[in-house]
Amino acid sequence: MPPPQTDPNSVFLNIPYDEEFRSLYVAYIVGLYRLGYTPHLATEIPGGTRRLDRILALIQSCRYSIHDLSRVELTSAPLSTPRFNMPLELGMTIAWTHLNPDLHTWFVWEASRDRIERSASDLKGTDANIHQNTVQGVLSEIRSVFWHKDAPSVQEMTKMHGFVESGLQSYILPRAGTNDAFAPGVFRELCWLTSSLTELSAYSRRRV
Amino acid sequence: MPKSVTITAPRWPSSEEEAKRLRISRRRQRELRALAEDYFKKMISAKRAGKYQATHQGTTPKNASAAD
Repeated sequence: MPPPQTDPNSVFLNIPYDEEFRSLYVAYIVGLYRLGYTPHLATEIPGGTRRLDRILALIQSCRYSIHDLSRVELTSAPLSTPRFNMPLELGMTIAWTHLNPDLHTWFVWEASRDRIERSASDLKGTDANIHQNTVQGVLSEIRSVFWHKDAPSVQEMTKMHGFVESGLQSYILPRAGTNDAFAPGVFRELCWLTSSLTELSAYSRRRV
Repeated sequence: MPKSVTITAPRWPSSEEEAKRLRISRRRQRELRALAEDYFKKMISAKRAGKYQATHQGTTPKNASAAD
């Protein structure tokens, strides 16, 4: 079977879809667009086949993936259960990369270094990107991984992040009639807004 | 994860490519684009105002007296 078509600038985001993660989710979108990469989420793929098959197909179509394990924790009682989706998708990605090392590169992101040592000791030797649960942390790590000579400053990206987040709250979510920032339509509009801002920012840099 | 990672050169998709990929209605594209433009207009004027202030800090305009 021929290898799947890979977009060299696409990044699969394996992140928690929860309200408390919203700010960091927006930071991933802003940071990746600003640096010249396109974010992808599992929610963007249409239904039909089994969810895991769709996720694997999306991972295979992306050149990179970021696996944020910072919220791998127990859900609240009484049915407290560990959140396994993120490690499961990381495992699938590691296996895929092992078989096709030239097609994919994965990164593990965590809030702190000691958490990863305790939660996934098999990842010892992996240089995790530590964001300390902050927007600046995410932007700064994205900048250092995908750095190029025209990379915008973290300060500039933080400003844009503030604007995109307020646009999400006051403009995108009310129209979508939902409070779910990870919903497919909301994600697409966030991408469009950020990509427009990125395009305009290149233009304004030439003008000012 | 390999020890040394080679990163692909960045590439910013054109707005036509992104619009096609994201499948957003033309009307919504225009609305969000207008929001983005508004942000940049404000940012550019703020930057220019900042530059003007930095250039003219501590100077008195030609036609004004120190008492102005």
